[in-house]
Amino acid sequence: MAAGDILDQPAAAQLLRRAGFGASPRDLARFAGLSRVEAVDALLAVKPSAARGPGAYTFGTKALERLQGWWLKRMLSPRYRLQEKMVLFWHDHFPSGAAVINRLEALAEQNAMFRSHGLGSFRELVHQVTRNRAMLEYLDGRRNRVGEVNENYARELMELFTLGPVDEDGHENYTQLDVVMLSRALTGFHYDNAKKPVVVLSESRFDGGQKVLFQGRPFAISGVLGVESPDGTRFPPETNVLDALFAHRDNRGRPTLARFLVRKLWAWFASPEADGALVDELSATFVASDYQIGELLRALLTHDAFYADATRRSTPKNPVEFATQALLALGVKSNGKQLPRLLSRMGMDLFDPPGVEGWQHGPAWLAASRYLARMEFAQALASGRGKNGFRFKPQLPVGATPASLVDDALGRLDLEVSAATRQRAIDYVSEGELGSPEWFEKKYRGLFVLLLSLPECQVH
Amino acid sequence: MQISRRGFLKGVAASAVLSGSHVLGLASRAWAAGAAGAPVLVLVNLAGGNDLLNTVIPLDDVGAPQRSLYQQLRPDLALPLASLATMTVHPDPVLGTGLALHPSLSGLKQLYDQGRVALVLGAGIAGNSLSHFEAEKAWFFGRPDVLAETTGWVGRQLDLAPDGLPHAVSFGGGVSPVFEAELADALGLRSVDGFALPDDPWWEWRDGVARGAALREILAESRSGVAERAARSGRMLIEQTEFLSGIPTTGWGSTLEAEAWGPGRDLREIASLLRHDTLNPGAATGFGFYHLRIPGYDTHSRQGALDPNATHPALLSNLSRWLHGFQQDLDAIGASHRVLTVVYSEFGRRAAQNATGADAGTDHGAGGLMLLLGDRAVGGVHGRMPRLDQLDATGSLAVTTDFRTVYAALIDDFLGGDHALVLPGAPFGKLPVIQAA
Repeated sequence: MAAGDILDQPAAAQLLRRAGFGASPRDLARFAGLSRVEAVDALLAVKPSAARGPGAYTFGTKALERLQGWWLKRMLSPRYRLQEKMVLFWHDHFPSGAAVINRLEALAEQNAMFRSHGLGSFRELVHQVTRNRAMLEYLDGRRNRVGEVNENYARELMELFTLGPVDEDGHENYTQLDVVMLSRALTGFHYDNAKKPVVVLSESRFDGGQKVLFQGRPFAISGVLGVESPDGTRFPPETNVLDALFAHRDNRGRPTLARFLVRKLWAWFASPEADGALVDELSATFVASDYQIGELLRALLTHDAFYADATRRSTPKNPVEFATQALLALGVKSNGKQLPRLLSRMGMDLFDPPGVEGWQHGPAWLAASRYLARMEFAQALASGRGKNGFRFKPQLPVGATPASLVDDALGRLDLEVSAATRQRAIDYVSEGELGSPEWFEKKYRGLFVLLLSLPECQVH
Repeated sequence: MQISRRGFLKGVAASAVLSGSHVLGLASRAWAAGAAGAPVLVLVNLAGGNDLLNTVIPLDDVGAPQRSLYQQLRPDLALPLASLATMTVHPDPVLGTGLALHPSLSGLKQLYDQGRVALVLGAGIAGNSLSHFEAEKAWFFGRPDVLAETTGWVGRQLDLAPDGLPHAVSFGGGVSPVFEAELADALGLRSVDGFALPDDPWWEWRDGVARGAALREILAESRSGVAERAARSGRMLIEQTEFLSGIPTTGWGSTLEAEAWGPGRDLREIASLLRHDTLNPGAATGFGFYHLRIPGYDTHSRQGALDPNATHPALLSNLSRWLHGFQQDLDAIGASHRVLTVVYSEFGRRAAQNATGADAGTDHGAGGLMLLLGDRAVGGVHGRMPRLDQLDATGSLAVTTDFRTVYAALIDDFLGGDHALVLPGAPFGKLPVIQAA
């Protein structure tokens, strides 16, 4: 990586799509010409925020849509893009959903917690998630108590959140006994149903017995393992069971957690598979920074491999990415009200992921009915005159020709298409009288529907 | 480039190319899987891990102390004997223990009494994982070493005779990994209702027809990589929307007519497609496999026992109503002889409850329940109930029936295939769960 690497327009567009939610043309122009390091510094220069969406005390579709709309509007703001992209990542990684949690305010609170800690220390984040109210409900942590061990959270904490079931050579990272031991160490977190509930560690619910985690491995720990005491003091590293997850090493002695998270973040930001050397390099950075997420992202987003041809157009956009990028690139105003319902049809209900594994990414986003929903979104967006929640006022440049209109629209959406596709789009806008009101409504708005429906527009 | 087989939009099929391929499409559908008379498999996945022990309940201690231990292990979750008096099924084939279905399964019990329900007890796979994802992958992929596989067992069956047409439909939006294949694409549907390109007059005002024609031509270009994957999905979308929008999914007298959403709606739509195939053998859908997923079975807490509104009883009661209604529909449209419904879940649950009082639930386990429903099912109880005095190392009901012995029977005896071509580790002894046609 050379610090002087200057972003050209496509590289800037890729960075802002992947590390954010897309960009307006003006915004894009600001980033094109910066060096990678300057651009990523700008993305990371966002302060931790406790901003929190409107969360009702009961569940209702309307209330859920208000909360979803609030978050989507924040995603569309260029100030917060990497922060919000990481909130979305953590929501997918540490999911909690409205299907289980009736109090939306608990989900709003969790969402704000991801905003406060999402670019900070992963150690701190894991601790926050472990004592988070929505998570304690979603994976039954609040029901995990001495003598009545509930394994739900402990299992997913290792399998999905930090280690993965097996390492890269297929060796098991933990046993069922470890799940039981970790569950016992995580007993005691509890909250009441007051209006403003506070999570506490209850001494009477905590299993204060001796435990051994990762027995027989070099990084095994034993003792009265736990996380924090009733007065809120954290257990020291020798008995802190969350620190033990960070100390886990794979069969080749490499840091399991760092590699696991690097792979997942690479898939989220870049492409589905990361090669071994890249994982070595990025996980070393992550460990050296004592698990600072922002430092890992700085290394990842400035890496040559992130800008390589193999990364470009390597993965389907998720529905939020598809929708926000279209709105920003075309300058469409959204009041946030229709968007949640359209995203739901595309397969992505914010605050209600399909399960504890989060959303299934990759080609699953392109299943027929979900693709259809993207076309419906394109139609709603391009025909928007305000009433349907979208306002789109495309400007017809003076002296425009069908070819110039198509090229301009392709450029705004950062699409590379075949000559035949370009020609077919030109033929399409050439039908009718260019510039007439009917042509404008049908063909000019229609051009954007057509381009947003292209296979090329579904991937990035 | 894939040849398009149906007119994209009504009234656009005028060109010689389009009408020619339209005829080709009908011809290829006549011999395809899912044509009239061909077997159809409906896979219903109870996601989260359905609790075998509170779905099929031990009544006595014949052969092993099943009832006594059941009550000891589950003081708050055990179904009382009095609630099970009318729900008795055949005794355990090996132990002889008396067994009954959960009282919420009354509709299913009726079908059982007609000899059309096969209960496979202790279903799973050796080395069963307690992880949802590994366990369900083993079921989807049809093998225990899930890291070595990316295709589903049905997907591999479909890959044996790929013809470019979708023969498998997955409800819920995405495509189930059970249909994942090297060559064969499956159709991922949110629902049949609403699965239509907007080509109504309102859409026409928005220029939908002309744009659709342009899009159809653009999608037909060949591409590479992920964009090609998207284009394939787009082509299938365009072909299937027009075809499926002509098939009524309500108003034909379905028992599930009132089911407006979720699995009940999905099953009504499947029945509607099967009805279409029966009525239109020359223009059948070509769908031979359906998959749907019913979530909510991960009952770690507040599982409930008898109260019909509690979590697990309510799940079972919905399931029973949906399956019973679906089977009634199949009977009414004359399709029950060729449709088999297979209900499965990634694992059963732990034998002991994990908390006391109303909070009681059960953690992830091993041996579970597989259920086959249809005229071709050999009604009764198969396999054997895992012994409660011989739990596995985690305190779970052991796996007593390798689910591949059921898959092998489905492939060979129901689909008329060869399971050795589809299931690694074959041959497997077949569990006798399929009646001769």
